Amino acid sequence: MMQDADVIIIGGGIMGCSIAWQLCKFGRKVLVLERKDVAAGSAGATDGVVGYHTKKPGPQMDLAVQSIAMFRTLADELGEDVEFDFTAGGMQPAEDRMQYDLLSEIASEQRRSGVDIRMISGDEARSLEPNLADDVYGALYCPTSGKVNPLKLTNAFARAAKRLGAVILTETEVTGMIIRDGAVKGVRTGRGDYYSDVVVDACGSWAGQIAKMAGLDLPVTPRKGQLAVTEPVDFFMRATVQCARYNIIKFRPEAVRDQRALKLGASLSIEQTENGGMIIGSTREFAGYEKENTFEAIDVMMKRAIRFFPALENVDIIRFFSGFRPYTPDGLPMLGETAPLHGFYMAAGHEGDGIALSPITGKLIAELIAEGKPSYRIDEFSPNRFLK
Amino acid sequence: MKYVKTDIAIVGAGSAGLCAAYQARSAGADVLVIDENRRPGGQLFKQLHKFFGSSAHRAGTRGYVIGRELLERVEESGVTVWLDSVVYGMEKDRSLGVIHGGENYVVRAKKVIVATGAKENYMAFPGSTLPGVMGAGAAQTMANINRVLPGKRIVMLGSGNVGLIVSYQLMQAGADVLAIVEAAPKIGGYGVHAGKIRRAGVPILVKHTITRAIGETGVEKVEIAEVDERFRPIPGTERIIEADTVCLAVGLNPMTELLWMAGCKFCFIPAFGGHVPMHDANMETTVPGLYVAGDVTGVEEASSAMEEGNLAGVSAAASLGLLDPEEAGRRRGEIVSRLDTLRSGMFGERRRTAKAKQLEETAAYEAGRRD
Repeated sequence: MMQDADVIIIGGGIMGCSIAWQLCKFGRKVLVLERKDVAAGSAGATDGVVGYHTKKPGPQMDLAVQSIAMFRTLADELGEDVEFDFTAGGMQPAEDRMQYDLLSEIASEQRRSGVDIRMISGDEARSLEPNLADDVYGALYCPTSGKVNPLKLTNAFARAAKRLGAVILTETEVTGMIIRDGAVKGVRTGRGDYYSDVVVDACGSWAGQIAKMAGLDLPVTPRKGQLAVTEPVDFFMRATVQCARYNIIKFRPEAVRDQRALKLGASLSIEQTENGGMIIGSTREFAGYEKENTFEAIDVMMKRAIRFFPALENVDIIRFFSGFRPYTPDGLPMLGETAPLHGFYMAAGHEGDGIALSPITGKLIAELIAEGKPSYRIDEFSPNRFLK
Repeated sequence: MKYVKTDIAIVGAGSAGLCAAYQARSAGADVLVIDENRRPGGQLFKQLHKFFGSSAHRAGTRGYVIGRELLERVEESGVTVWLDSVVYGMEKDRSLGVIHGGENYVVRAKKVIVATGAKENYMAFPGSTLPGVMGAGAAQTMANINRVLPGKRIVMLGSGNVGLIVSYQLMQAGADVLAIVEAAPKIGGYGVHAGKIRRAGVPILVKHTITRAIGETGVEKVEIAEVDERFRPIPGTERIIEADTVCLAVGLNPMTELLWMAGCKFCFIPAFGGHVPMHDANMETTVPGLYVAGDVTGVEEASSAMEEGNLAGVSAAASLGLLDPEEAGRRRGEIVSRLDTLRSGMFGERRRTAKAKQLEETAAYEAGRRD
């Protein structure tokens, strides 16, 4: 069969565009099929935290370490500014001793990956971020965590890929998979069929639906995150700040007592963007693909923001929005070829870590496809762990 | 977060909202009206001029008098009014997010009427962000409500009724209106308003536009020029007017944000100011239980807004079973015939055609949905 491309990537989000760019560097002919537009999904509906300290200790943290190292040279390689600030710092203020101790416990596990994550006093936290509330007990602090503009980054990946010959077809929805003798041969779309022996599912929260077309039952579930944007204000804060509950909900949910917060998965995540506006989140809700903002979540989020940054009380919110985070049951992404279907690769399920993990995901998947073996072992992330 | 329940919640305490509130309350409904302004009445209290039309529409009475009487009736009827209260969102179930008295409320109503009115269009030109360039409606609020003169030497852009009436009121308040500039080949508003302006010696320059405003910290000069038949400035015709204020009266557009949020279907009717919500003859949108009235349904004028408010109030109350169907039908019939009168004649015809199109498109949408 005539090949339309060496590799077809489904999904023009941050993963799909990153993989496309890396594959082009290997000289591969790449076709990206995107249902809506580049960055129309989660990459265009999130904040830009690029931190170590929010990563699950173990393989996920090791992956983050490699990915964040790549960020240092990314703007130069992509040839455009992506608003990356690699020394912004990441902070998680704790309200009391109990939260502080839980964070310390998580941090000591995270440190095994060799990253600088330390516990600091309330006074130290306030000297770093003077707008922090007076009664913050202490904080986890990671001086080398950064932030980036995820929309700019995704578009920069896409433009770099196109410069190297990738074709990105937007408004092209994949409707089915072409399969022969246990191997993928191409995809069907609303605009016709496209053939390739290698197909990558980089559809984020929708990755499970694409996998289903390939006959694979892979548990990727959309998890809604609601966020707010404020009016632009003068310099307010440099670090990205997540309240202690962020890591506690993520890694020790049993320790959270506030039922409303637990149901919504609500914790504070806040950063100031380059134009002065602040992005305030967020929730982690299982609500299918329903993306409405809810008064309940807004109330919880705004109270939480003011609790840690009282001065925000006088700042206007100009917009609320939401995005889906691709959740997997074990909190790890699915990276690699599926055993039952030859040529079908997964690159999805990063939940809230997608922006930070996008450079390494692109690199490793491209190496796997182009050279048969990635430069770093990713067996823990194999989608086959769910296909037994 | 506090929860409040009511039969009917009305967003906007202007002409349409107050009439809707009065009708619904008179039928026996619990009614809560919410408005972001500190004073109710919407644009009515800015209208120092006499209204036109039939005696049923208080022709010859000044707008603020009509507003005062309406407000008295509403207050006596027992409607609850929340002022200085912002409705910041609507969920799919029609519940409203409201900041009232510094508290976050969720208002759950059996029926919601959105009567948020319209906002002014803006026109961009070099210097249009200088202090001293403002909407004509803003200048009217400053002069007639806050009793502050927005400037001494004024250039008005646009010769529709808003441009003409506001020019006259600014002159009454002591300002000099140096010119009314109109891109179209003829005056847009009523002849009677234009006549008053001209008798006072103010030139109305048709086939002209503002090409720029000049100044350091505010408007000092305004450059105008003639335009060709495609509204492009003709080089060499520029002239400078020494003015300190530019008022823009270049149309209005409906304030539909809450309706988009609630998932209402829209149609596009330029004569009504752009995208307007589909609604049926009872003023109900494509979201069941969500009604609209006044300029938010398409920009018209105050009397039509009041009648649409009456219609929405009666319809919402009837749908709650508070009016027997026969009585509701009779009242609706009366209101609709008064609306037809308002939408007739030389100036009303265009609005009547536009409204008919809006109702037709809604019927076509509903028929499609049933299939």
